[in-house]
Amino acid sequence: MACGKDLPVVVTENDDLRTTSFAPHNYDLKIPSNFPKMDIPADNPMTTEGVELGRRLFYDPILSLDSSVSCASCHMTHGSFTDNTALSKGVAGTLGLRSAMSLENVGFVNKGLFWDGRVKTLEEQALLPVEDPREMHHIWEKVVEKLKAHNDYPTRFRQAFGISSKKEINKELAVKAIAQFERTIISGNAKFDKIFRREDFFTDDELIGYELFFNASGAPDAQCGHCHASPFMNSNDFFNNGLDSAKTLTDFKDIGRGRVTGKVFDNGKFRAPTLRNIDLTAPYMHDGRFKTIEEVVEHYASGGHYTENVDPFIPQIKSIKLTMKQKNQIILFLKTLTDTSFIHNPAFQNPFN
Amino acid sequence: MKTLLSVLLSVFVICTSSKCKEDPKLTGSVEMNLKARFNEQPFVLNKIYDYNGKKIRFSKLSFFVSDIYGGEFNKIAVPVSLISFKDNDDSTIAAKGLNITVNDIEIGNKTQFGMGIGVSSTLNSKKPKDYPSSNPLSEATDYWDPWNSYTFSKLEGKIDKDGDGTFETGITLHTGSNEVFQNIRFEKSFSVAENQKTPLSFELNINKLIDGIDLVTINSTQQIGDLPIMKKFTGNFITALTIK
Repeated sequence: MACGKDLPVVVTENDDLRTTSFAPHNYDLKIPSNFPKMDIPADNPMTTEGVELGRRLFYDPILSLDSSVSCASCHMTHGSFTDNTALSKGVAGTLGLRSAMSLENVGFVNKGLFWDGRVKTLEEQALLPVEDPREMHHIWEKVVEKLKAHNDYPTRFRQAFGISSKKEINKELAVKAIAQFERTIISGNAKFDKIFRREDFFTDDELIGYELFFNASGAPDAQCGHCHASPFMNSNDFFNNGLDSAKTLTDFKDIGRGRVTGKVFDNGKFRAPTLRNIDLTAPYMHDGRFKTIEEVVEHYASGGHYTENVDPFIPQIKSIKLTMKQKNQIILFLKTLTDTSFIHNPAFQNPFN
Repeated sequence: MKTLLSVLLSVFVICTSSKCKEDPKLTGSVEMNLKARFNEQPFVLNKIYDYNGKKIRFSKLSFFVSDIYGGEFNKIAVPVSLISFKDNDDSTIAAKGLNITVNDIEIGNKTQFGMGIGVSSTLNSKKPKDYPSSNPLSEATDYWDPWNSYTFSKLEGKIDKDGDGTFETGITLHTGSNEVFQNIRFEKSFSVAENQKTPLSFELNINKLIDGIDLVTINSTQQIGDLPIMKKFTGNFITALTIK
């Protein structure tokens, strides 16, 4: 049985797992030379067995109320671990509130996950979608019962975490495994990376786009690099990037970071997400309002909408009056961030296919 | 031969029993308290202030300090620290100031305290990826590739130039690169006792920090041609940052 459909929610009498050996293998995480070290929690070291269990849980709809939604439903490899929709659908087609974020290089994000940074670790993050009524709409207690009764998972929990009995399976171990798998989702083989490893070259237009993006070589400053810094082309900070024209700071449809901090000047602020593989992750922004990269660049070039807390870089972009050619050059540079070897990596694919 | 071996063995035993090791120095700490002020009021983010006949509001003030020492210039206690006024949301918080603990200062009477504004050249020769995430230099957005340097300081905000109530003009005054690193030394008598925190109070006068830089006309410092403005800004710390 591959996935968790139609499983009896009954724990068998024989809970002892000790007939299966526990000999985990250290997982050799391959980090590109231009990336920093990844923080691995001391209480969740990565093992081959843990990563494989995590991959299975990630792709298994057993985590959802009606076995219809898995993590992968909103984080698909072909979309660089997004679902290419504005708002993701949960159980029974319920629409989520925000666009699914890409998970590539998510193991390096260490200062707040989600668009509003409301949780600190991948382990904490993985707990939430299961019980979110707009996502998996389940209850962890029930999920754990199903995992205990499964014909394969108990053995895999034993191999990954050394538990002696099915009774020891719990949500904490499940999210540890998912987090281990998510830490392997590393993308560092785009043309951009190859150029910095001296294996490839920018075209003339890509180079100008890069210079505009990072204000390099005296090019006009399109201000992109302040919030989308190399190597992940993201930021650990939160910004109001001028998407909405709110009369007051309490008038945003989605107050974003403000809900986490309680500070009114954080209303309407969201994480600056990674731009790696941006050509694969449309639509864009926290609510998926922009269908194309061209629309995104046009938004910034226009200076966005004014609100009290709009980031000061946003109105400055308008002042440099980017030409159509320059906008296209920025887009060409952004397309050098596409890593197709990443999305086709067999290690990230659905193990049940 | 036997005697020689005995002597060598004795020396070995004495050394390994730590008599040949340097005595560990006794240390204490300094608790820096730093209050920022603008227009003779506590510096509060997003508050509207008068500025050169216009209205201004600041949304960020942060800067790196490195090579912090207490007493002896060559005995650095803290390699680098990021000072950020990100929580100055109201005047009560701003009036309390930021606290920065400087550990590992040798005990004794001191006559000076010093630091560098920015990231010292040795630390600045590396990039964020070279530092662990616990180090303040690990943030990629604090490094600016075109300068091959950390961004030493960030002063950001917006100005209402035409007085219509809309703060339409962004201010992004950033500094960086080894040329603008600024050492500051304070002549101050204080004592450091073992395992004790000695309080030292500092004040940062933002008006003096931007003295000679008209934010109405100079909205951004990102280009290499902006180096003189950056130097002016970090140089202003000498008069803007005072010890009480």
